Amino acid sequence: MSQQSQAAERRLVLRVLARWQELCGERAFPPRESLAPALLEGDWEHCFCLVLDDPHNPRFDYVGTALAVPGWSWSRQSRVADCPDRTLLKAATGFVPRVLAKRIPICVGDRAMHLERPIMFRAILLPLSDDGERIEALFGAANCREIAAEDG
Amino acid sequence: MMVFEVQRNVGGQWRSYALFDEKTLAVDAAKDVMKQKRPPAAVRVVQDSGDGSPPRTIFRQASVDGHNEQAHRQRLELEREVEAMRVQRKQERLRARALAGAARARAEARRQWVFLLLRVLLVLSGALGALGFVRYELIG
Repeated sequence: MSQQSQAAERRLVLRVLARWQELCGERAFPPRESLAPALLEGDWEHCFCLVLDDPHNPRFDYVGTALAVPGWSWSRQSRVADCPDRTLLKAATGFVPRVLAKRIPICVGDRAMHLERPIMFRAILLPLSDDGERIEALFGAANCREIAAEDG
Repeated sequence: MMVFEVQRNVGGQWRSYALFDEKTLAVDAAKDVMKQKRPPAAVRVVQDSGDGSPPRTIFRQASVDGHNEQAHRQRLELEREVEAMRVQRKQERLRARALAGAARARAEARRQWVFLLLRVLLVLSGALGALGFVRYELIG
């Protein structure tokens, strides 16, 4: 997608997907190192990266500040299972097995709870691979808006 | 659960590109694919209702669609230009015809005046001749 149309795109998940596609080139998946903060600018803080050393319980490699969970500080040893429940980050990492099964980016939107407040979130998980075949990591992005309790 | 799968046609084969749970996002993602620097031959969005019914294509766009649309736009533009030129030529013809008519009318009026003058001169000379003849016959 062109820079102009990308700037006009107001949905985080589509902006990130377009970047991912650009980085793919002729490959099925872009390499892990290709996704850099400069590429995603303001979106970077809404992103996270999971390393699939254990596909059933991936390890966080990066968590953007917008997805930080108060009272829980992530480290590169933190795993998805360690992430507190009822948070946006937990909701955004909840469909890892589907991405690994389908081997394509998956975008999900749903209601959830974040810091004890009902939210409407949208998240995307994108496969990354250094050899273009074996998925070694997942890149994710998510954002949300608070909704009234009765809507939730 | 209803899902919308964006598929790209590469080398004659449909390949999955991304999966969405919302139709609008899927269709917009498909359109974005066609805006890439090197778009595939075609892109489509397949809806799977998840109720056992067969998946159905709800959106499809091909590179050739873009070319066709561009050619169609160019043809319309050309037709508009041709029509504008035709109208302009018609107006010019009408203007030229009006000018020629006015010139003809002026020439005709001139001719009429000359003819009238000749008639007046003829009548006058006849009257003078007649007067001379009368004077010659009566006065001597």
